[in-house]
Amino acid sequence: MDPLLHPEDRELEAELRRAGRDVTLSPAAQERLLAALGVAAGVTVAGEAAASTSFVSKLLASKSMLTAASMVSVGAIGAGVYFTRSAEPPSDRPPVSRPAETVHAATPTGAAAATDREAPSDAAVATERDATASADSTVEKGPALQPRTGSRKPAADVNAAFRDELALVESLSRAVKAGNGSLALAHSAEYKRKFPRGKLGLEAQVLHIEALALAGNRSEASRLAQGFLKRYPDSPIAARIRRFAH
Amino acid sequence: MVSEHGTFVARTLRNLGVPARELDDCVQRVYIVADRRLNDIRPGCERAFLFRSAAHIAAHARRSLARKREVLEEDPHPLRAPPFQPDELTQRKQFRELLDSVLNSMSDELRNVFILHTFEELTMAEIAELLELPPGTVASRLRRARGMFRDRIEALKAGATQESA
Repeated sequence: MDPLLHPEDRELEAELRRAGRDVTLSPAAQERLLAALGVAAGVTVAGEAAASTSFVSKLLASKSMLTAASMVSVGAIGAGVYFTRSAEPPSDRPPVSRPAETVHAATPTGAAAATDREAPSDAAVATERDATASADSTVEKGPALQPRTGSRKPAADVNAAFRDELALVESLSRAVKAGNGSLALAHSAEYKRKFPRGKLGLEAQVLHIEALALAGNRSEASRLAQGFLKRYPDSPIAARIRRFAH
Repeated sequence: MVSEHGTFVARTLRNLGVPARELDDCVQRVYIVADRRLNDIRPGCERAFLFRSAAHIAAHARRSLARKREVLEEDPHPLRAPPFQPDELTQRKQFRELLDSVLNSMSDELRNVFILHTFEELTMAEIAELLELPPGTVASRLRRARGMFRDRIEALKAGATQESA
């Protein structure tokens, strides 16, 4: 890497380079992102986290964003639950107003919070550290993220189960991306066995269809793809499998 | 795309001038655009698509902030502060502000090339491919951006020295 500054400023240059690189998307932020995309819309905790940001609140309330809202709806249909915050009026408050969701740009040590002009450094760093180390503890701290009814599972359990489910779907996705049909089908079978009513059921279904096609079973892939498109013709996810529905 | 490129998108947005408080929302905007145009993204070109979307959204975010006059007063001379604060977090914040100040002085075309080379550590050939530019153009922009970066730091240092004298 060629030096940018004069030799006497090398220390400064190193700090500036570090400042430019010291931004990561934390697991918590990834979950919120997936929830906003409708992938994890069925998860109460992740859904609430996503809906807590001003943009997603607006997104759900805005008629002009029907496409994205329909993604959320589809996810909700699959999971049998819904975004409970979607009916709330849009809020313009910045995401930092809820400590559990201050993770904009977290490093493993959470020190990047200090780069946020608005973030109260100590509190934010502590929260970020918690958020990145354990989503469960974050959930327990945020009062708004507590389950609303006694009949529901504790939020921490839901979140842990979702993490397992997400990991399995990611393995399935990786196998599909690698073109390994048989491995993808094995992951898909495992997913169906472990999460018969999974929150990521639709995503898994799409990946299963792709896995079938990869493994050479195009007729079954076509049959499932047609069924999926009949049920969810406008789903953004459907676009991915339209090519299999011959 | 989220797990593979999420950090790249967040870092790109931040280095393109999106304030930390807007980062979460802007990352979501980038991915919603990507999701809507999934069929248009050529396999293997995901990062290029995400970068272009991020650049567009960052520009929009900067304009919105300017219009709303929500930009907080930046210290034009971050180097004026003592170089070694006892609090490491404060020090990191100052370096970030200094970096923002320098990057904000660059045009978009120089800044794009500069951040991809300096912070993403892409080669000039990779940048040329990602931005769909001729390699010579990338090399030229990078040379100008590096010169501007150095000059801006020198100017800030000179200003800080004068003020302390």
